[in-house]
Amino acid sequence: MKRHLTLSTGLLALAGVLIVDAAPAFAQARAFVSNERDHTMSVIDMDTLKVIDTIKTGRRPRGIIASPDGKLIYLCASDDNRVEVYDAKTLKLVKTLRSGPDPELFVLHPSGNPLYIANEDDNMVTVVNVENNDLIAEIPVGVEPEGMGISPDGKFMVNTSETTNMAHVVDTATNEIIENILVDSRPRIAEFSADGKQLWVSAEVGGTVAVVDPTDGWKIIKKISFKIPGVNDDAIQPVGVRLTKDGSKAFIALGPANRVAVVDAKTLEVEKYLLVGQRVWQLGFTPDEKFLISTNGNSNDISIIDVASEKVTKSVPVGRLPWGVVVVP
Amino acid sequence: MITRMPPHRIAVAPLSCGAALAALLVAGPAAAAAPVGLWPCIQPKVATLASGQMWAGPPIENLDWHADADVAELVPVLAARRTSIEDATQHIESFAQDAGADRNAKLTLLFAGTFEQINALRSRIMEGIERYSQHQLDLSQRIKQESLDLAHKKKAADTAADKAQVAQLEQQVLWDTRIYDTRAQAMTAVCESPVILDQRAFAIARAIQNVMQ
Repeated sequence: MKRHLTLSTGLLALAGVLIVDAAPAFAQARAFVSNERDHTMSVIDMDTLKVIDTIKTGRRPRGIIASPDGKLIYLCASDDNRVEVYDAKTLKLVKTLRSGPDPELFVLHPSGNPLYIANEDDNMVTVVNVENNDLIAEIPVGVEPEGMGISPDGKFMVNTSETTNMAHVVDTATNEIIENILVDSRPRIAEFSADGKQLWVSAEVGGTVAVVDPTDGWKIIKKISFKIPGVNDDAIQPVGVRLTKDGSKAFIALGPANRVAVVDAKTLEVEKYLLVGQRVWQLGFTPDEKFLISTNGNSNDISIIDVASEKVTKSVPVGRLPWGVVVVP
Repeated sequence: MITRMPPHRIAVAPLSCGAALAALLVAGPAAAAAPVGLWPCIQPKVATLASGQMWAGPPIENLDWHADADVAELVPVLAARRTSIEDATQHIESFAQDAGADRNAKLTLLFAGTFEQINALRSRIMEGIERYSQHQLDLSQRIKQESLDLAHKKKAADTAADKAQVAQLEQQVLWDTRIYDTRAQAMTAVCESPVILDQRAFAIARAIQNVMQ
């Protein structure tokens, strides 16, 4: 691409042709998967469902998200105590950001800045300005902070702490905790609905997902539990949670149950369980929400779920211990 | 600007600690009655695999897969670790093509048999890991005793014969420690073997389900 741009200074017309030619290669949606054990990131072309590149990252890559415009990929390199920022097109490392110790999961403010990072070893959420790498705040939370969610209007950030069994609600204007919601054992993920009217919190060991009403004193409306024939209850460990933008469906990754639960987000009833791969961990939609991807840590692959038909259509081998996934247009 | 919030913000935290403690106390008597675990691995001990973790097809309980000659022939091939997943997948595909009208029923039998055999092998391996762990415990106990003996005899050794015995004992401690260390280093790999079988069972289940209609 760089070469094409250099050409364009002298040969505008020719460069124009080259750029147009090159454009389709970058037009397809791509999935980025962090491989915790390989210290790499797999890049998957979502049209062909082929791995097009594997990028060496910092050690123990886990949390992975994209900037709102899809141009940058943010990755937690947990054992290197930093956040790495990659260009989603060139796949090059653009810069690294401070993260505090042992960053695991993080969330960007809907505006794209700042970045809120959970520090698993330090009982803190670190708030970083992604433009200049300034430390904005360190917010003490519960023990082993993990899941990070942010309300669509950016007013509330929610962090879950694995050992304290709570979801801590932080007012982003003051960076102070305004509410602690006691949920079931080892909460992993906090995810707001697109309209901001629901907050879903998964509890891995508790085996439930709490649905919280942020508009009514952060009360738990319902705790969803799961039952799968032929699977022991202790293998049902909810982790990743994703909701469709229209608020109709929720998808819950159930860890070593190797299933993704499909939940009617209106009635909060489980509709079905999709068999994906082993130790299903995190989930990510394609931007058009036609597909949902699950990372399967023990089978070292990702599963592609067709959202409309609610069927698993393919599995794609990636690196060892795939952890997180994000898809950009 | 850096703002560091005071820790007392999470005032509800003691509530959950209290709840956890209560749970611990309730669980106390049962936990105390359980035998001391020999399981040495980081991976949680899961005694047997559950078919539902890999199979979304028809139920497999009480199926007599031995009765079908084709199935009985292929099951040990699929279960054997020397058969690669690629080869196993090819075997499964050919089997499905030849299965005729009973395709799904025969494939279900094939899974039932393979699952049973892998699960049985896995159980034997898990028992083996616990024996391995027991040997290590016994060996560490022996090293402890030998070291005490050695210290004692070294102090009291006057004659040439005593000193020769001390030297021999020293060699024994050295060897036992070496064996212990080597076995301890192998533990990570030993602990991976049930995981490898979990992965195998899942991969075969997936390959079978892929050819079901």
